[in-house]
Amino acid sequence: MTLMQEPPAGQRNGLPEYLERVSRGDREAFAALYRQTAPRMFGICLRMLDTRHEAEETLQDVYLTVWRKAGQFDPERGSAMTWLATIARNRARDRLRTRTAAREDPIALDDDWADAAPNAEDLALAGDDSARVHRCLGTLEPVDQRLIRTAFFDGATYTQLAARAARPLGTIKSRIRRALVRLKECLA
Amino acid sequence: MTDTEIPEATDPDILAAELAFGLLDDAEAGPALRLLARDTAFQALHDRWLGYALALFASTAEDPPEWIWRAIERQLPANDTMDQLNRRVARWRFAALAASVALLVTTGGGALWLGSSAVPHPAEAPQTIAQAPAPAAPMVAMLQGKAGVVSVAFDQTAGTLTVSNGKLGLDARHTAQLWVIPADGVPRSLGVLPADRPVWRTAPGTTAGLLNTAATIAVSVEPLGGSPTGLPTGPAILTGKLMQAG
Repeated sequence: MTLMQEPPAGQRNGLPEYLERVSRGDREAFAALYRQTAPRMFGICLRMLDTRHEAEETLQDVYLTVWRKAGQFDPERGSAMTWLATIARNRARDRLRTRTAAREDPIALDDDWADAAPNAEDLALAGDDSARVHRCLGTLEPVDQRLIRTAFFDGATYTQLAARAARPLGTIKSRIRRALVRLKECLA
Repeated sequence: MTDTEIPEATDPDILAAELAFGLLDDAEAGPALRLLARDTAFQALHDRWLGYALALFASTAEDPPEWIWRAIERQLPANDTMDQLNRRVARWRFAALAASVALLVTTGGGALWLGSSAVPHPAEAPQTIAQAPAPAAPMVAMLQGKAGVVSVAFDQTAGTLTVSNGKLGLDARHTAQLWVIPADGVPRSLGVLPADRPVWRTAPGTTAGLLNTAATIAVSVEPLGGSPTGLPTGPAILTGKLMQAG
């Protein structure tokens, strides 16, 4: 089967249907689901894990999990893409946690330079929603941006962020919560 | 900012954001996950935040290398035979339909087209000999699937095939038909399994030559009386490889 062919017209948004068929062991639906969603899931794995090798292994893990758990997807409870991405993120985070050495590189809180934001071309490709989130994230203080990005991309929790930033847990929590409130206001 | 003024995440929206961005440790995430499981409003908030979080990833989408898909397929549970068989059944069904249409066209009208039930049964309906316990047989197959388990034993010396049926749970309008699929991939009927007998023995006759270790044995769901086309028309519910016993 050629994987890279475009899905037939009318099936492009059929992710919930694909998942339902996958839950009954339908491999063709599984292949179609993979075709449509793997690039984004691979993007998540690549971004969260250090090496391509880890991302490639984790992507397999993600889809084997999808194969087993497709029956648990409930379209009433959210979009299929979000459900898939949650699995991708969780598997990538599990992978990070199984490492002998968790990522511990320090996060500097005392400088003001912003982390590299995606360029305009990337944003245009990614669509409006993404551009809006990046723009709002960009309105936060550089340090807060860095903390939120690190939380998501490195799979780091409050506790891990506090350790890496060498700050008390309470400081980090309150700082990020305030940043989330601002992010929410900007995105509203 | 001092550490004494930690704002609690009393706002469910912020709790949803913390969960979506993965900020909570396992202990903290527990209550939030339970809330997620039962509160639809919280689910909606969480889904929106997760959407935002994922938007940060959108610019990183990249086609994975082709080999990853093949690796995933290889790791799927081993019900490949059943799956491939069902895909083939779909093709046979199409071929049978196409043949019927061709017949309809060549006869120039609909008068002869009486539906699939009018298509003659395959001539070599295997003969039911007797119900008896299976003798020790040199070739065996365990047919497995969701419907149950059926064991098949083929005695090459006597040329008899003994089948122990489990309950396959078919309704009164359907019957289970046994097939051998040799290396050429074209199924040949071994007969219809009698629903009322736990053990059934048949003499496959010429088909016996196809019963070797290259063959797959399968059971498909067919209309009463067996497949009208001579090829499986319904889904394959059980399959197994024929193996040399002992």
